[in-house]
Amino acid sequence: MVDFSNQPTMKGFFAPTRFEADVYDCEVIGKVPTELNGAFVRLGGDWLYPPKFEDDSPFSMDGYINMFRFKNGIVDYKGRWVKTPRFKADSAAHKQLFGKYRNPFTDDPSVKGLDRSVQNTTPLAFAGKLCTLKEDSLPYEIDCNTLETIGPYNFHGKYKSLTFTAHPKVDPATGEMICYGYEAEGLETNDVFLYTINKKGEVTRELRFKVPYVSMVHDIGITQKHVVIPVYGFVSSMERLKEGKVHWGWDDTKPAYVAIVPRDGEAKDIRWFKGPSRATVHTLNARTEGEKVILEAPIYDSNPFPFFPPIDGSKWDPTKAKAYIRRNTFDLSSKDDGYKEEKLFEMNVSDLGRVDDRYLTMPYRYAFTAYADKQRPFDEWKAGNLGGRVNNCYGRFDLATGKMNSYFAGDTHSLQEVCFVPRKNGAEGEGYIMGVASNYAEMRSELIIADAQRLEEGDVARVLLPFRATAQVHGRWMDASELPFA
Amino acid sequence: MAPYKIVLAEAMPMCGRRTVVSFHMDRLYLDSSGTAIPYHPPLGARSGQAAADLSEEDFRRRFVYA
Repeated sequence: MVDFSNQPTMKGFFAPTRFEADVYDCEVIGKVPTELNGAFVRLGGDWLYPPKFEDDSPFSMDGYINMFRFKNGIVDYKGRWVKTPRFKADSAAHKQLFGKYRNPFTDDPSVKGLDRSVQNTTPLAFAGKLCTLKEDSLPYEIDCNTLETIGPYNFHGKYKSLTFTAHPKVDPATGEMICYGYEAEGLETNDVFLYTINKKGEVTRELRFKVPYVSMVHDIGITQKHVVIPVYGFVSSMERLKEGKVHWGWDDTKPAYVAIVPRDGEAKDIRWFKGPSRATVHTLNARTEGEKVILEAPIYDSNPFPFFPPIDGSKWDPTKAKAYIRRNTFDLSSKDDGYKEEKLFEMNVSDLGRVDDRYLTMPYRYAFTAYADKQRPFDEWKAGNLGGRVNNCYGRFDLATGKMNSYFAGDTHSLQEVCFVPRKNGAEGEGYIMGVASNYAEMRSELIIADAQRLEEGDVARVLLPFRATAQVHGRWMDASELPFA
Repeated sequence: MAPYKIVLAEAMPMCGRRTVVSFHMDRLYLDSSGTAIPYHPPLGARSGQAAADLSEEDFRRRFVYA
C-alpha cells in the first residue's frame, strides 16, 4: 500500500501527483502566438513510491516527461512517467526498492545490477530523436508523439561512456553536439569521455581524460575552439557509498578546477585552471577571444544543495548557497593556473539560466533567468506563507549595459526554469520566454508565454492546467522541424 | 445582510469572544466581535503553506527547484 503520510512536506502543492495525463485543447488566458509550432518539453520528477530514506536527495525522484504541444495557436498537454527498469521494478514490487541517490549499496538486494537511473533531468531533441537525460546513465529514447519510453540509446554503439551528461551543447554553426560522460567507466572512476556527434547522430570524435578528483561535472560551456569544463567541490568515493551515504558530499577545501579543452585537441592539450571554492552547476555561454576563453554562468558561492552535506560534519550554510551571474576569464597565454572572476550583477538569481541558443559559442548580449523579488506582493492568505522564498519573476539580463527587465508572475505564483524561444529569423533575444508557474491559490500549474522584449507588459498567454504539473528540472522548446511530430 | 452585521458587531461588547479572520466584500478582515463567520480557504487554496514553516535548509532540501 502506498503511504505518503509520513512525508510531512509532501502536502498541499507539494504532494506527489502520480498520474499520467492528456489534456486536449488546453484552456488559455490571452492568445497563444500562432507562429509557435513545436513543443515545450519538460522533464522532472515525482515520487511513484516514497523514498526509502528520509535524507535522500530530491534528485532521486522518478522521471516524468511532459509536453505542451503547440500548433495553430492550440496547445495540447501530455504527461508520462519515464518507464525505466527502476520504475518497472518498483511498480512490480509496489514499493521503493532503490536507496539513496546514486548509491547502489543502499538498494534492495533484488535489484542488484539493474539500471537504477531515474531519467529526471533534461529533455533533448537531436538528430530527429527525443531523449531524456540523467547524468548517471545513457540517454533514454522517447517517442515524441506518445511520450512512451523506448529505451537506452548509445548512438549506434559508438558512444562508449557508461554515462551521458544532462547538458550537452549543440554548436549552432555546425549543428554538432558536444557531449560527455563523467564517471565514464563506472561508479567512482575519475574518467571523462568527451564526444563530438554530428547532426546525423554519428559519433565523429572521442577524447578520454581524467579529472583531478571524482566530482559532479554537471554542465559545460562550448566556444568555437574550446570546451570549458568546470569541476567543483562535490566529492565522492567508494568508501562513502559503502557507508550508506548519498553519492555526493561537499568538500569546502577543494578548489574549483576548470578544464579548457581544445575542440580539436588531445588530452595532453588540456589546460587546467584553479580558483576559489565555487559551484558552477549550470552555465550560460562561453566564447574564445584571441588567447582568452570566457565563461559566463550563474555561479554559487558554495554548496547549493543541503542534501549533499559537507563532509566535515559542519552545517550547510544557506548564506553561501546563492548564485550570481559571473564572468570567468581564462588567459591561455598566462603561465599560472589562476583565472579572473567578475560578478556581473549584484542580485542573486536562479542558476537555471538560459540564453538565445542560436548564439552559443559566440558573443551575445542577453541572459534569462528567474529570481525572487521580495518587493513584489505575495498574497499569503491565498497562497500560503511563502513570500520571498520563491522565484516570482523572470529577468532579462543585459550583459552589455548591466540593465535588467522583469516579468512578474503574480502574487500567488512561483516560477520554474525559464526557456527562451527565438523568433525565426529574428535578432538575438527576439521571441518569447516560456516557463511553468505554480499557482498556489488555485492549486494548478500555468504555462507562461511572454514577449521577451516586453517583459514588463506581462504575459501574452497563459495555458492553464486543471492540476499541478510535476516539478520540472529542465525544459526545452523543440521546434516542429526538430522532431517527427504528428 | 453583511453590512448590518458589521455595524452590529462593532456595537457589541467584546465579552471574551474569539477573534477570527472573516471575509466581506471580496476582502479578508480581522473580526474581533465574535459574531463573524470564520473564513476557511477553499480546498486547494494556500497550497504553498505546506512548505511555509520549514527552515531554509529543509526548504531547499525538498524544493530545490520549486
